[in-house]
Amino acid sequence: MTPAEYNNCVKGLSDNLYRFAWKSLADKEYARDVVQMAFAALWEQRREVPEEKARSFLFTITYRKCMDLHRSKRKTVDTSYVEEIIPTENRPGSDLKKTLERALNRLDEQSKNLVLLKDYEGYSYDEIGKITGLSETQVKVYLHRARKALRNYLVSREYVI
Amino acid sequence: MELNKENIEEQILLYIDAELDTEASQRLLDYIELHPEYRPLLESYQHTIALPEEEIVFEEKDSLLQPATKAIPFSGHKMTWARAASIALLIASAAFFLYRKNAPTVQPQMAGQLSVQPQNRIAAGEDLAEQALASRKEPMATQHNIRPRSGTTAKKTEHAEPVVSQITEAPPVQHIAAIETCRQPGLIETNITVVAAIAAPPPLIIAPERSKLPEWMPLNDEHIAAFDELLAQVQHVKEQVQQKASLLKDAGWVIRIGPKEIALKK
Repeated sequence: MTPAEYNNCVKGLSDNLYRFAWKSLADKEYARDVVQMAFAALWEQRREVPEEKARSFLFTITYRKCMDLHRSKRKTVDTSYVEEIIPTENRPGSDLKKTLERALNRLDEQSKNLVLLKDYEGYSYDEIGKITGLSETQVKVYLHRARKALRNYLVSREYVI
Repeated sequence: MELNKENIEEQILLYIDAELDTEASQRLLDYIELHPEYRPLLESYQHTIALPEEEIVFEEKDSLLQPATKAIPFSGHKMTWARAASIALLIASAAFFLYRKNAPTVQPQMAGQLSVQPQNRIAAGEDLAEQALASRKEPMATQHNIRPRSGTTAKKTEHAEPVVSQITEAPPVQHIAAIETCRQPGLIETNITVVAAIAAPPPLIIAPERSKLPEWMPLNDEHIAAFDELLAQVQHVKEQVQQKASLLKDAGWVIRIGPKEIALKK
């Protein structure tokens, strides 16, 4: 990858990475640091990473950095636990988008990241598996479980028409 | 795959995740059209799709940009560099051998001049040697001798080119006037040739390794005799200079008129 191609990646992918990291970490500063680390890693390994694989490389770095930060902050919770506490939650949101965001934040970090990679970036199960290190089946199971949790939250709050 | 109430939810989830192909998607929509009781399930899952917020942008992307300098691939010029290095090596080698071939050697010249001239060796025979010697226009040269190589070296190189050397007879020694004549105020006779010889640069020091060179020509008896005479002259001049220095040390005044000096004793 040439410096010009690297700069194209910065211009074309930095916003996507930042959105993903920000939604995953719910922290602007952490998200900025993670994006900078991802691009620093890409620059260091630019000779080994072709331009067409830069996107998955950057998201892999960003995903793993986000997971490391989550583990360090001990914020990871189990999905089943989320499903259990949803019925007891009684804090209606102002609109559907905010409620969905709140529901996303109730998910465990891995499921949340899978949903973000799927919905924000449109990756397939196979691509998400390569980024996250999970198998395609695991991705499918975790994603379906996350969808059910989100739906249950939305239905319980009667934000779904 | 046949759709039924057991797998409809999974198929809806795959449809939401865009993992169904066109045919499977159309089959699912047709099934829901026929079974409208599943439409709320489909719509509820459609609301779980998180839409990216386009207003969120990374404002510090300029700090991540790298200067797009034009890289010069060194490997592409490897052959050019190799050729340049080869040419430079050849030129350096040629210059070195030419220098070795034309390196100056000690040649006894006129004893009165105390100068060392590079040996003139001409490889084309007597005529060329004569021309070359004439072209030098040595004002003090009186005799030209062309000598083949002698000794073992000449035997080894029997068909080698003759070596021309210029041997000049030493002029008669011109003695400096006795220093005693200068003890009293008077004229000090100075040999101008000797002074010029003293001012001349020192003779080249020839390393012993030079004798191992293929075209080395040792000095003959005439050369050695000329050198001995030369050294005697140098020693004589040295003694005279020392005496003159001691004399001038005691002199109160020294008057110089051209090459002559008049010393007045204190």
